[in-house]
Amino acid sequence: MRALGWALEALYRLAQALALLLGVFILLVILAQVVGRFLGFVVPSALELAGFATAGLIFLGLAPTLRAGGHIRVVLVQQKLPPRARGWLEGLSLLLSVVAAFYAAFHAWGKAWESLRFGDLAPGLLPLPLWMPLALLALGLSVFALALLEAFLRALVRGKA
Amino acid sequence: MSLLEIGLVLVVLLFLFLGIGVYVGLALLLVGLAGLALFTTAPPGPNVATALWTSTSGWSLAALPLFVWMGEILYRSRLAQSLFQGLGPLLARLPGGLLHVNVVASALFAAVIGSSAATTATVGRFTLPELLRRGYPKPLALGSLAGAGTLGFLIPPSVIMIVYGVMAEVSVARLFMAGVVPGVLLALLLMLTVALLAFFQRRRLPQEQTPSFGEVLRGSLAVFPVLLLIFLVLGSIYLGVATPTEAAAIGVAGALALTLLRGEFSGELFRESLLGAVRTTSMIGLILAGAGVLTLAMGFTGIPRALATWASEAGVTPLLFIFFLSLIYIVLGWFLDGISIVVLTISVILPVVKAIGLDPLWFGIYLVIMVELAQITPPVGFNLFVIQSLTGEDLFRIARHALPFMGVLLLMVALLVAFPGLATWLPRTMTGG
Repeated sequence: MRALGWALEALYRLAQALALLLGVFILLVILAQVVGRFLGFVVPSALELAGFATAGLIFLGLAPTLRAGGHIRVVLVQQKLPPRARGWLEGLSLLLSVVAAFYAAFHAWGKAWESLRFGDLAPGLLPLPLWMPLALLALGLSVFALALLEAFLRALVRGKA
Repeated sequence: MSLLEIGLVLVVLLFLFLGIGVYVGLALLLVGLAGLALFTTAPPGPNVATALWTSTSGWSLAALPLFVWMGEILYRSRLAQSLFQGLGPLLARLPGGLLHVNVVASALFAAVIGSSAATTATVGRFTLPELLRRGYPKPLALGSLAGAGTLGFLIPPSVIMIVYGVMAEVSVARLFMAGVVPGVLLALLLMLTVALLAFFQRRRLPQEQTPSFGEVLRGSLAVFPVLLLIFLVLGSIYLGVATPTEAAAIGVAGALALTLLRGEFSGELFRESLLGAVRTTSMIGLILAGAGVLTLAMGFTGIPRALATWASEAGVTPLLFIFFLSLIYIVLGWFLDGISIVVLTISVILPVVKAIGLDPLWFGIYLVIMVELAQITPPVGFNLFVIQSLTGEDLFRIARHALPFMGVLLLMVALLVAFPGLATWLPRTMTGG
């Protein structure tokens, strides 16, 4: 049980580290483009790369943001309820979130796989294989789904106690 | 089922999911999924994946993490404190004295920070303790900050404008131009309100001494680095030498250089500011991604198109439309935050906006002001949350202090409706279109 918790924690940290790296990457690639305009060189596909990295940053950041309590939801109804009913509602909302995240992660992997199979390339100067950024998206969603599942199970255990 | 029934089912489902506390982005995703699976013949899975990807991977969205990052850096530097000390002598003689620092510092920081909550936090962290220590009445100090913090979204750069621009396919650079005149006007109206409120309570206000020439000079110098950053970021967009995304990257580099010069740079500042940017971007991104799925599903059902046709055939006038929409936004603003409201409604509203002949650029600015209003209406308003965490004051009491400033925002909406040129004149003049 403890090993599982440790492994999950490592996974969240990995996702967070990747998201931070993508943030630095976006900054550098755009700055290189700005500098290049003045010095007369072109950074190939800089905008596409920055856009892909933004998507990667968003999805890899989902789980760490969840753990930091950063995602938005409406808690007004829950706050108004007695503790028991609140626990039920919390469980139900987390269960729905888990289902949504796993569904999205599953189909994101599917899309990445399709793109690898057909050899889809990004439009623009650099013929970047699209499966790479798509795999980042799928990875981020998967870690997010696991984080939500962990939160759901913890809520379940709390409810029993 | 008729379109009306489908629409009703989806709306009920959405409020159900939101009500029980599903994360907003995932609630949007689930409703979109339900729409695809129940009311269309499109295969839901691949469509969901495609919508998640296309709604988050556009290059103009790269401006979002960068502008948030820049704000996070400035929040962590002590620039705001210097600015407070600098602005004090410049504004001390106005009726209301240092209360105006709240407004002017917010307006200046709004021009380098993209969100209202971040502006409120950056400014309030230094102004609130100082104002209260000097004996300014709490209602005025807190209320004026809550009101002035909303400038963060209206004065570019603006997170809301980036999100709206990406969703509505309106140029972010033009939106950034359109926000300037309304932003400056709103700042002036806020200062006027502060002066009026201060005049009625003048006996309870501390007397500020007339600053010496040296103090005024030193004050002007402290304002200089912020002005330089504003020029660097907004100037490069307005002069046409950089896109908003590029200007954001320049801004991050500039803010980092500033912390280096001030001796505040550290590995921790770098990492923490970037982490803050990742969290905010992910938070907004999840909502955007979910809305992408919902928008796609809506497109398949044909509801927005039908609504747009109905609106133009029924002869809905822009004025009537804006009036009812404002009522809806005010109600939504009670229990949702600004970004969620924009993202939630835009896919259905925008076709109607175009069908009845409203300018999407103008509508973006109108939307920003409605979002600002949502930021200070309880029980859910991010500016209020920030001030609550800064002072420990009750949320509803802060909202009551902010009441006059909500009035100013409503006045601003009325002015924008009466004089659309406030928003559209500058972008037309600068880009000639």
